[in-house]
Parts: sequence; C-alpha cells; structure tokens
Amino acid sequence: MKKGSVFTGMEIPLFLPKLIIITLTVIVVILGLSIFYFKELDLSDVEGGALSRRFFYSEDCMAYSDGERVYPGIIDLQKFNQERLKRCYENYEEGYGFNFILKNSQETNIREIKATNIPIELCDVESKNFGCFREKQYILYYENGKINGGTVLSTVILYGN
Amino acid sequence: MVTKKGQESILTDAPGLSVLIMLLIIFVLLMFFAKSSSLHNSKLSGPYLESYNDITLLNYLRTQVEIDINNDNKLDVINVADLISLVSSDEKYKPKLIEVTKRILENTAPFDRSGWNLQIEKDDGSKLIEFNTKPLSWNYYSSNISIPVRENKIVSVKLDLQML
Repeated sequence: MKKGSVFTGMEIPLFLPKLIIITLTVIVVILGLSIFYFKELDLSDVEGGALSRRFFYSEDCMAYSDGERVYPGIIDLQKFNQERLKRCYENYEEGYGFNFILKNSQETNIREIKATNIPIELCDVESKNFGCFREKQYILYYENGKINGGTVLSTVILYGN
Repeated sequence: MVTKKGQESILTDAPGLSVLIMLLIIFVLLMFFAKSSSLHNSKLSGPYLESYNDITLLNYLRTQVEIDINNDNKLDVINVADLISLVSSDEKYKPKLIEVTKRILENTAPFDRSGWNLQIEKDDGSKLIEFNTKPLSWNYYSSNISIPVRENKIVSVKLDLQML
C-alpha cells in the first residue's frame, strides 16, 4: 500500500471492541431498568374485593331493596340462601369459589352459604394452588322487620392465582 | 492504554474495563434491591378498600341503638347518626356513643393487623369523640360524612382505615 493512503478495512477491527462494550453497556442498563419497572402486579385483592363487593351492593345478590331503592351494605336475610348466591355469581362458576358466613353482633353464626367444594380453612395453609381473598365486613340485616348489626365473613377463592 | 500506532484500545485498558463492569454490576444490583423493597406496592388493594370504608361508615351511622331519651324509663330506638346529633347538644349521651362505637368498629377491621381511626368533629373544630387504635402510615383510606344537627350546625364523621 502506498504511503498516505487510507485503508478503511483496517479501522473496523479497531472500532469493534468499543462497539461491543458500548452495546453491552446499553443492554445491561436496559436490563437493570427493566428489572425495576417490569414487575408483576398482584391483582388478586382487587379481583376478590370486587367480587365480594357485588355480594353487598347488588340487588340481584343480597342487598336489601324496599322496591324503590337498593341499600348497599344492608343484607336482606330472605335473600341469604344458596339459590341467590348461585344467581349472584352465575357468570363466575368456572375458576372461582365463594363462601359467606353471616354472624350476629354476638359473633354467633346465623347462616353460611357457599359455592365451592374447598373448605375455607385451607386458605390458612401457605402452600396451595389457589388464591384466597378474605374480609370481615360490618353489615346490617333485616330480620322480622327489625334491623340488626352483624358481620359477614367473605371468602373468595381464585383458582389458578 | 495506547497502542504502538497511537490508537487507544479499550480492551487493553484493564483497570477502566474493570471499573465499568463493577459499575454495571452495582447498577443491576441496585435495581434488583429497589424492586424488592417496593414489593408491597405491587399488590393493589385500594379500589376495594375505598368502598369497604364507605360501607362500614354508612352502616355504623345506620346502626340502631336503644336509649332512654325522655327519662320516661322507656328505651327509644334511634340510629347512631341521631345519637351523634344528641351528643352534640348534650354530653350525657357520650358514654353510650363511645360504647356503641367501640362495639361496632373494634371487631370489623378487614385484616387482623390493620387499624382504624374515627373522629367526630363539630363545625367549630372541637372534637366530640376520637379513637386512634393505631398510628396510620401514608397508605390509608378515609371516608367522611357530614351530619346536620340542631341549631343548623354540622358534625363531620371521619373514618380512616389503614391499608396493609
């Protein structure tokens, strides 16, 4: 090769190590940021909570109605049965289980209705292949024309969660 | 390092390369631990807890209590909202309100470890009753209801529920 002439083919191997290191640095930075930002969001509480809310809010479920308006949070004891529970969650038969226990102010069980074969005690076991949402809600319920205070223990079982 | 042709080679600059690799490892580790420390935020509960709070407060105010109002040795049935109205004008009903409030709210927290606070406050800022079961951290939900009482005054009832 003549003196003074430029052979660009020789510059590529010299540039390659820098290119590799810059590329690797960029990949590691993106990987690091993705570890932080792309995390799994656990929505089981929201899903279980929303399904449990339906029980207390909907006229098709257990909410008391005087014919003119519905009273969310007030339970109609006449509706508190298996048939009504099935109707309430008819679109959620696959992949979900439900258990509701109504207690009076003395913490005595008044009624229990369920749409699951899994005993709710299994929700206390750590290693299981389903998720459980549980809550205790203060409610009022109508019984013989009188309004009483009590609690409902709700358990929503989410299979495959 | 400089090659004999006067060109720098980053691969031959071992200390610089080591520092770069160290920095990248530290960066990845920092991101990993930052994610681990914010895991509690990856469980969403808020939307459900807001309505839980509202129903609990509404039902608390709608609960019926028996109390002798006219001193005629006969128990009258009123709801908690009416009892609050009575307490705002006559403090002698306050023990009954405290008793009823404790009975209703102490056993109804959604989780074993959660706490709740209740404040009943007149419109002049004076507190009728206040319960602080646990100090609340930043992630709690609050429901507020105003009740009209005698002499065109307002009493506000505020229930705070701690999210885990």
